[in-house]
Amino acid sequence: MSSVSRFVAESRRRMADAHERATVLKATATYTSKVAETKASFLDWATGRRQLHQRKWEAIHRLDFHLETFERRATARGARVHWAEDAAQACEIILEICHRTGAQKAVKSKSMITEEIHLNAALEEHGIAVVESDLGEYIAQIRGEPPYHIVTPVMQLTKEEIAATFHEKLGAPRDATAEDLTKTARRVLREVFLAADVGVTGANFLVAETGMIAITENEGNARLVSTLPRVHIAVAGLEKVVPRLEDLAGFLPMLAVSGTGQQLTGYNTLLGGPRQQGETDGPEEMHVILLDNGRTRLLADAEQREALHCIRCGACLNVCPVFKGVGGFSYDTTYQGPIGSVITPHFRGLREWKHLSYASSLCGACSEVCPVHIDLHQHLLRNRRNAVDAGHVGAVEWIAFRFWAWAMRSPFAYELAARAGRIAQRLSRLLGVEGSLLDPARAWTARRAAPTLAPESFREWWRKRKASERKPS
Amino acid sequence: MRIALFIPCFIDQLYPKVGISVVRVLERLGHEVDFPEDQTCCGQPAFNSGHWDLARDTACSFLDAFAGAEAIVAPSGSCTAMVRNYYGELFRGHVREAEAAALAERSWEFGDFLHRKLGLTDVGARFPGKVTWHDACHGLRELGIREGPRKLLGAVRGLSFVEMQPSDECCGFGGTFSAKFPEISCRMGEAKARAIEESGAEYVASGDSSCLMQIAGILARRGSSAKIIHLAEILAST
Amino acid sequence: MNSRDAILGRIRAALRAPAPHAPAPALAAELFPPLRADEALPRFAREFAALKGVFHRSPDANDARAWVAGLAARRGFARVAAAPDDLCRDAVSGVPGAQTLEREACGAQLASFDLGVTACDCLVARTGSIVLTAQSGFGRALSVLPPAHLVVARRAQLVGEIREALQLLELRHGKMWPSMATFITGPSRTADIEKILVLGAHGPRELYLLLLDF
Repeated sequence: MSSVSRFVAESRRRMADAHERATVLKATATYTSKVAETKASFLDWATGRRQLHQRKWEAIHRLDFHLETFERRATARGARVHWAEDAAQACEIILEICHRTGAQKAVKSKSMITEEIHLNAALEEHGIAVVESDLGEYIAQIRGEPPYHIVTPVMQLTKEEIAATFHEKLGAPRDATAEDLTKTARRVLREVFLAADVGVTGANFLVAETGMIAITENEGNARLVSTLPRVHIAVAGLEKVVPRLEDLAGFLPMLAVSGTGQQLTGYNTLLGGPRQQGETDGPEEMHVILLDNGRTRLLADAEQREALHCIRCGACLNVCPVFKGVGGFSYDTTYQGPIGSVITPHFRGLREWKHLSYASSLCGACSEVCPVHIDLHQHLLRNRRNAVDAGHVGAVEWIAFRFWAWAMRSPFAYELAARAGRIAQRLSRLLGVEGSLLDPARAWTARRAAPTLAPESFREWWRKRKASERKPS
Repeated sequence: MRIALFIPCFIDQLYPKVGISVVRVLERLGHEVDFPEDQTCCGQPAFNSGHWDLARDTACSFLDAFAGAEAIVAPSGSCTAMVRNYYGELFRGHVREAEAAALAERSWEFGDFLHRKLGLTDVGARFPGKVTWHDACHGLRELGIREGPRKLLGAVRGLSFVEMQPSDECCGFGGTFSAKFPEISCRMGEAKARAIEESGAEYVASGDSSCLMQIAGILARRGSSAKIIHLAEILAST
Repeated sequence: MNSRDAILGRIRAALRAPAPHAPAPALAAELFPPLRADEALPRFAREFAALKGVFHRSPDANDARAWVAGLAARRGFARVAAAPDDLCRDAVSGVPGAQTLEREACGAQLASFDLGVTACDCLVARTGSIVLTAQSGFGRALSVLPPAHLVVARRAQLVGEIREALQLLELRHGKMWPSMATFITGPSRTADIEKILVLGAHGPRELYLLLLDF
């Protein structure tokens, strides 16, 4: 099955799941009202967006310089910086570290990039047990499912469904409250934190100036993952870099608002190196893996490289009517929603993944909310253009548009086509074809009443009126 | 003012009354209205589907048809947005780039033209009916149209206005999207139809007939009594 | 060629393609309405309370000690671990059985304590945040592992904005930052279960701030 057929089939299934749809809508409605509240405290959100856009612009347009600076400063603080060209290499590096340090147990905090490189599977294949510690990711893990959304991993599940999972997998009572469930996870995962040999995190930002990584979270699990195990490995995309520490004064609050409607997320932690001289705890080793995996390909596209500004806040997903309608699993990609639709063709190939760029009405809600001012819907449009230019579009559509272009070339051709259309519609209705399986316009008429081509078009009316005005009274 | 009318293809063929209403309103306000008969399309369908060469060919015909026009007014947010916001990218590096940019500056969406360009609120209309407004995406996000239509409708005698919740979510049309991904498109349309029904409005109005076409299609299948109407038709009513 | 050179090479090659246009320069404007000096403390207190933190302002050392002792008794904090600095030592001096940690205390051992007591670097008024490092927090674990966390701060440590907090840390540490610095904004929390807010996911469920206003 091709990616697009899988997408259509899965989205059909998910759209029919009223329960899932209702849960997701409730979650996004809560999000929307919280965001509105917190945005109100900003003097000028619009300027903030432009500022963040500029900072990221600077970061991306001097990416080599900033990454080298980051590497130098991080290394000076005792961190080991690795460069991975693709997912396989990143996993290799991590496995090598685990092997060398004799690690058998790994604990992770929430990191979409580790999903991207399929790290858990790689670790488990090599006999290293890995447990997710973010509550949402943990729930997804024990259910054997990928995260549904880049920020809220189980937004499609109700408390009852999570309780059922905990009952099945952990023996928790069926009627557990959210509080009970969280306490259970806390208890179980505490042991995991304490027993883990290696902790794996992502990084929300790589601060070039100081050689530190910044991690944003609410639960505190990332702090524990980067504190208790002997070895800390942070995986980050090349594009996560910001030039200066002071840039975080803008990024952190805007990420919090866009991500979860909070003024500031619970813990924003800067980590620069392993335990230093005189510190009482902390990992003995800290590794930062800088991952390419298609990012330099996107960087090379001067028109679309601003998609690398993304700070993975998830706002575009939360406002997207398509995401809300078909749900995160339908995308079958690491990154869902508008940003996922924009970047996946660059990371995984346009031919197979262009359909996500077409599965959009280009409403622009995503671009409107993006805190770093990425014109997401315009990039979807450009992906479509690139797909056509690369010859990935089917013959039928190609021919249809050429016919359309011919019809639009001159008013004569246009009116000829319109007249033919009128006749065709009348015939179709006469013969009962409209709305039936034979109807060529079935894509419309299966679920919607079709408009009727007017017996007299506007331009026909205009011509008549002009003619009657010219007639002597 | 001498106004050149841009009547998009689907209004020309499917909803000519909208175009006629635009003429009535502008003439009632004392303007001279012209319809350059060489016009066909702004090129948006091809542009949105990624066929930019074909879109550019069509857009060149558009530039020809409207060359020298003082003001171009269209009863369509999406078509106006195409010309104002996207001709720049479509014609980048092209010999007619400057011409396209100049033309873009002189192009207006109908309601926006009345409200922001002419500074009007009351255009002498009467329309007894309970009306709700659908914020079409292009008009809203590409052209910043939100307050204008509400002010214009607010001044219509006999009209009772009610907001639907939400008013600004996409109706699901999205051009070829409606045919390429009909189930997702209809799902979005159903959500819009529900919002309209819940508002209790007799009419749903918008500045975009493409949205109204989608909405009408869905309302009809739902057996809804709500009717579609374009802003121009309301403002033309006396 | 190693991966590092390959990636940097690809980046440089990629950047040779110039972007269609540079972004319009954004004014270096403030994102937030300015906080007056007299607004800072009430603002901090309000934000901290909204986050479900518990704030106590002490007019003198006796009150501070008594409040902490009362807190420990009320909440049943039997095992209390304090960082070995004067501020914390004084604060817990009225708590029976409170332990001032030695240099060698390890992270995992802290898991058995009910309350961790640390100092901090500063407080951020706008967001109700507490900023501490592996130095002021006496390691990485003390402020996150025990289920309750008490921070002892002086009035003079209050700043208005995140930006000022970062500047303060830079001034204090220069190039020799501790390996961990964190902005703590309320107790640990999660809303992963159907958007229901639950405190105490993995970090402390209870967060207390004792402000020494003398």
